[in-house]
Amino acid sequence: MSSHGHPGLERLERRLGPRTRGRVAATALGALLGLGGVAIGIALHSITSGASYAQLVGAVALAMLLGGVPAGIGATVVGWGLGAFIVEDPSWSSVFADRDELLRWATSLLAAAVVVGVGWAMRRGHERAAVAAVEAERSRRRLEAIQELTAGLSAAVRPADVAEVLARGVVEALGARRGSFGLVEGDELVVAESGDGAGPSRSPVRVPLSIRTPLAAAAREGHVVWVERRAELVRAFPDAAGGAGAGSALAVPVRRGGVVIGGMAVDFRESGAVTLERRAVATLAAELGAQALERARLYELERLEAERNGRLQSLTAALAVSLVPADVAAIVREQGIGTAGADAVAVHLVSESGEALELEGASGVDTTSLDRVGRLPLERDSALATAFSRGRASFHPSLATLHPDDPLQPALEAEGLVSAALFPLGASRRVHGVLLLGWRTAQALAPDDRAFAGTFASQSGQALDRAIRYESERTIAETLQQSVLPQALPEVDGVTFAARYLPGEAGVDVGGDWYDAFALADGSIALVVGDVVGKGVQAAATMGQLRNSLRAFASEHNDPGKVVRRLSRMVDALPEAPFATLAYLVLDATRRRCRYVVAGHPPPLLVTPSGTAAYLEEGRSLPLGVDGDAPVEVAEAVLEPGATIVLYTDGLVERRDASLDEGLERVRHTAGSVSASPDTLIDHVLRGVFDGVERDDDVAMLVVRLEPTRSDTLDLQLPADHEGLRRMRAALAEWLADLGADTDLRHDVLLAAWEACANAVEHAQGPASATFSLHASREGALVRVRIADTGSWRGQSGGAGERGLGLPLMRGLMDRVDIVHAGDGTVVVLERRLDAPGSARPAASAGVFADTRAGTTQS
Amino acid sequence: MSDATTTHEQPAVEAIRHSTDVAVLVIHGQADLHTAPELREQLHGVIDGGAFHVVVDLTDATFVDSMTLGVLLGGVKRLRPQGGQLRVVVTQPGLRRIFEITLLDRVFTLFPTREAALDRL
Repeated sequence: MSSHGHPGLERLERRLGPRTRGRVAATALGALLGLGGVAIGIALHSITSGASYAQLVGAVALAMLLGGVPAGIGATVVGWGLGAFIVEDPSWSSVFADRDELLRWATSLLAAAVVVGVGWAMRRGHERAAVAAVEAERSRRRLEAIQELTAGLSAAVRPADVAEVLARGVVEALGARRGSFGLVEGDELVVAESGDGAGPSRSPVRVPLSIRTPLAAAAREGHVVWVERRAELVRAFPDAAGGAGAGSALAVPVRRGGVVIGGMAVDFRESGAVTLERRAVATLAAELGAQALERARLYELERLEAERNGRLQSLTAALAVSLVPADVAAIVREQGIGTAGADAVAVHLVSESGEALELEGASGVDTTSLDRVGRLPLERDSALATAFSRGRASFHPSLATLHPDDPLQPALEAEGLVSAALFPLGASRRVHGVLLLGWRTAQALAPDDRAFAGTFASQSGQALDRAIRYESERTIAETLQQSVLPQALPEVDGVTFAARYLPGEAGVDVGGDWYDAFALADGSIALVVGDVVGKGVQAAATMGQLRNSLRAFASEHNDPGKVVRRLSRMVDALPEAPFATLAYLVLDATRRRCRYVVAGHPPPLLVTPSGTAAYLEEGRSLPLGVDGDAPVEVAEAVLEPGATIVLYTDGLVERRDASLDEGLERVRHTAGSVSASPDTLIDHVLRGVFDGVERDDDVAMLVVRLEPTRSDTLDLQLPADHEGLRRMRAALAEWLADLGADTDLRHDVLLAAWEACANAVEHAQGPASATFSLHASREGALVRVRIADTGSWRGQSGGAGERGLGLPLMRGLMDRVDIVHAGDGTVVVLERRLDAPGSARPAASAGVFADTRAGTTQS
Repeated sequence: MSDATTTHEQPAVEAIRHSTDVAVLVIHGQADLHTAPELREQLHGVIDGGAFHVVVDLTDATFVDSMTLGVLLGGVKRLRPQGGQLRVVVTQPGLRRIFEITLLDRVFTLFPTREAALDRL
């Protein structure tokens, strides 16, 4: 039976162990030699009729040497004495009576004792030497076996190799009949066995950990187990089927970091073969094995990790380019094979009606045999439906874990699949289908396999979700645009438009947002952005109705207030009483004015060309459908050339994670930070607002910009310094270019204005913050530039030659120059006709070297 | 004024000694009241440095204001006592007209190219 290491027992064994086997044989031999001694005694006596004691001593010595053990000696002495007694029939008295005889006997016995002692000592020494030699030989062999085992283990890279090498190596090292090696996996033991011959090892088998074998006992209990006798073996370990033919058995636990992870067992043909020595070797081999296993495990993990990473990378790469759900499913089927070793992959997608799961396709199996789960109503009790509706993965190491009525079970069985895992396919709250992985060999589906397959499924699900959303977004957007949103934005000179409609990302319901832009009969432009509260078909229908009504009302009334009031009454009268908000603007592009009404809608944003963005906060009215008789306030805004109006729906400014004010401010800030075309502005704002954030709601945007058209006037107010002069020159040059004036005229006007402004700057008086102003206008074919400063030209009429040329130059370049000295400054008016090409008209009155005071008009 | 000149990529006024008694001043870009002090300095420099005649090349100038004309006029006054000439190279009609308007074409001799201006000096 099993026995724990007991110190006393071990000591005893260490002393007796090597000789135990020879004890009986030696005793028998001694007895034999003793009988031989008797025979010799008799023979000697009969020949010599009275053996000399020397002869007797010789016989005894011979017997001693041959017998060699105390038992043999005893038997010899007894045999010799008996022989002497029988042959001589001596009377013991004569011996004790005759002193000589007694002395002879004593001497003889003493000599015999000496010989016995010497013989015993020799025998003992010889025996020790022999034992040592045997021991040395055994150690050498064991060392060799251990070395071989170590070498074999270092070459083993997979845990299965380690198990096999260990099982075989231990058999050799211990001279055992068979060896086995088992690793604990859950409540099972994966056992590799080595046969006693050179035959190939069988593949590992799984047995319950509770099985009654020495191996399982060692692995379970974590200590050395050994059995010395066959009977005991059969009694204590009835499950040790391989034990038939075994006389004794030994099993040691295998540990990793103090934790028992398995066991190693050997059995021997003979009984009592489990020596301390063998136990020590077995323990050492188990330690070596544990180290090798750890190494192999790490290697295996690394390899597995690399393989998994490779798989995921190739999956990600393949999925990145697929935008159609069918493509995604095909990639998942293709790449799924081999994921966590899977032999079969099937993808089910939810049907359009949302009532059933439909087999999209499968790989690694014959799809016809999956027909019985080709269309699976969600109310059916199946693991597939559960994975879909609960959005949770389920693992089935054996099909027995499936519900008996689950149609999946026969389908998988028909394909020879014995293990399966099911994963919902989708992203966050949206599940679109189920991924099935199947295996033809039973799988434990260890946590890391589950995790990896889960990652695979999650990546696939996200790609599928992306593809499906992309498709549905596109479909919705297309449908909406076709039905409600304008086919094209109007084309108006000097006005550019851009618009966008983005459906919400969270759901696929059609929203009630819309925008519209159309030209009115008087040349102004109607701009609308609206939002019907609610989602779906009803909201879309109302939206269409509102849009059409607004177009009709707008054609009848120029006043946006009247249009909105009629619209409000109309909505009020609708039976389902919807509720809508609206921003309606009528833009007069030529006068750069717009009149607007904001009915419960977030305020339109006005962006100036210099990048100042401000909301149009006036013209606020109640939302449509609240009170059809409520007054409607109309506001008016004046726009600069280059100004941009941004209309939008609340989806742009309302976010779950931020307040409305934050949203408005974000839009205002983003829109003001860019000077770009309406199209670019929309992109910029959408990026700035939804940077990585999912849109909860749909968004409509309409952006209109008044192009900075050729302006008939130019107004400048500049500091009276050199920088102001330079800016004047640049601005005026641009304005003149915009007028389409020819090069000469541009040059002449620019130089004349420059001279006037230079004077203004040169003679600016008063505070350091003095300014000058320039107003340029075109009236028909006449260009007029008016320059005013805060200084006076009097008393500085260019006595110095260098400065005196300005006025004659102005007069020469212009058709007319008027200089007016007002109370607080000087005003110069320059005029030049566009149609009369400039010709050199020497300013006759302006003598170059004379005083250049020109004729001036005092006001 | 220095900030005005630094805005020019190249020096607004470039002085070239043509021969022992002839200097050439090339004016680039906008010659206005910002660059006038520099022009004045260069002009006086070459005259004080011994130039008998000065050629002012306005071929590369884009804008010439009255202040620049005044500086040139000052140059003429300095050259006159020694009998030296100030010749102006002006190719653009717009610039030429400035001289005509101010009657300065009668004070300076205008030439269409630098070669012509340097001829027979």
